[in-house]
Amino acid sequence: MVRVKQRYLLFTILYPSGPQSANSTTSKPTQSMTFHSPSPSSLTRTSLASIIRSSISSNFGDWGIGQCGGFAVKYFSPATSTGILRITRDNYRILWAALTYTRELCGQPAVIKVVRVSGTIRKAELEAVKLAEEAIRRVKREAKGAKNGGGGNGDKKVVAGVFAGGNSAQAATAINDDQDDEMLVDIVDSENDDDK
Amino acid sequence: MFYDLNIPWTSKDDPELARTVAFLDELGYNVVALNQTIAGKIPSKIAGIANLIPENPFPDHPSIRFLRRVTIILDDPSQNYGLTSLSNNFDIVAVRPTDEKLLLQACTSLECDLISLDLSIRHPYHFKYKVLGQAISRGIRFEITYSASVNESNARRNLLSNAAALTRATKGKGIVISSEARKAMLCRAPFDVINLATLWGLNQEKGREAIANGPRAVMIQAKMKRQSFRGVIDVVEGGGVPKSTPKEVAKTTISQKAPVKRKAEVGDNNGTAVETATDSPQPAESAKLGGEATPGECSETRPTKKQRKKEMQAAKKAAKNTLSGSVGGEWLR
Repeated sequence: MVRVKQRYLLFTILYPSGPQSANSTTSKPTQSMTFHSPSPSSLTRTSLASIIRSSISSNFGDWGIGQCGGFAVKYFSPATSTGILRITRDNYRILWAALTYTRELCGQPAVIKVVRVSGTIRKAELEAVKLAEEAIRRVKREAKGAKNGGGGNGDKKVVAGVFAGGNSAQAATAINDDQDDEMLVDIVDSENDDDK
Repeated sequence: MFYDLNIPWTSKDDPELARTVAFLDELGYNVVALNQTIAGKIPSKIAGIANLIPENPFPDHPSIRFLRRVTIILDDPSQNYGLTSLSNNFDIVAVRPTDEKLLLQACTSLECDLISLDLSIRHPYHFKYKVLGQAISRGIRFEITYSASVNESNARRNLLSNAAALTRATKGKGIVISSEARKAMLCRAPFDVINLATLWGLNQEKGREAIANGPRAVMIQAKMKRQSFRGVIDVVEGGGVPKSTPKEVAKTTISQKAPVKRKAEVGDNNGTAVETATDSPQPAESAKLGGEATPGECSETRPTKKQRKKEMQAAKKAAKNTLSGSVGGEWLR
């Protein structure tokens, strides 16, 4: 019996309209994080799946749904707006195109960017952790530059701003299964390390 | 390096354009061409078309290189478009033919760098390799713009069929994909675009070429046309001898050391005798080094790199020997 080959798509959601007014209260985002913001709380794994499914059906019709309706949202973190999808290997390009053609999520314009296509979920997870760490490092560097320039923005404050809604991330761990739990802990850990 | 050769220019103070550029930076593009479109009747003196785009419009994005591009919408086959004079003001000159006749004209004779077809509408004619192949053999590439297809479903349908027809007619060669995005939300990341290209009949490699190497070729070719002599020869550096090259230093040391070695040979022929014996094919060569003995003969048989290296080693050894002894130590001081 041949094993069913899968592909795991790691994606991030970018919000090109910039930070929403609701988030701007926490802290002013730095330049590199202009388009990264936490997703609205109404966006969950199930609602995301239904949005993607409707995008597939509008772009690829019944045939598309039949081909790749069997995808699964393995992980989604609204705090970092990253997630992992699983799909059979033959059809991942259709799903990817459907993601690319998605224009808005929960009423605000959004661009879904596929960061990595991987054969195992482990590699996708590692990449997600790496991305989060990189983002924190970038923000810290920028914050340092701002400090030298005379802007008094503390590191902690900026990092807190990046992961605004960090509480919701922790709440999300309760819902997710073990594997995802581990990964989120990883992300949160790295955040703490950088705080010191 | 990823390229987006079509971002419509509005004005420097337009917040949407600035946001689009920032978003492209975020998505990972390295070169962005700002596009100025000229439609309708061309003024008689075409060179008078001012370039409204400043040299470096967004200095707060140091990682992006900006190009300035002009697109001329062709709608009159009888009109003479003096495109060559335009290329002095712009980095890239593109044309957008509106019917088959003009497409043929653009492919065969017009002096442009890029042919940008509006693929979001239905064309009443087919793309033929006979026509498009002429443009490709002249080094002109075809542009597919995707942002209209992201925005609207009707445009998406047309783009799918047109792009598939274009890739079939060009056999996947000479295609450039760019966005033509008027809003930041219509841009897509390079790899997402490559994935879209696979839906149009390109494969992964050709899709990547359409967004990385293809646009680069367009950029460089346009630059060559503008700057170089007949598009063939370009002076990259002014020439001249660079000061204090290490080669020259090495030569002088050899010529200085050569007599030292000979003295060493005379004085104590321990190490050097062995060394000269090893390069037996030209035993006289090492002695002649530095042009001391007979300068005329030296030019006949130049020592190869390997031999020179060996001789250098031999000379060094000899110098050591002489230092430990007393003969000729002053040469090294």
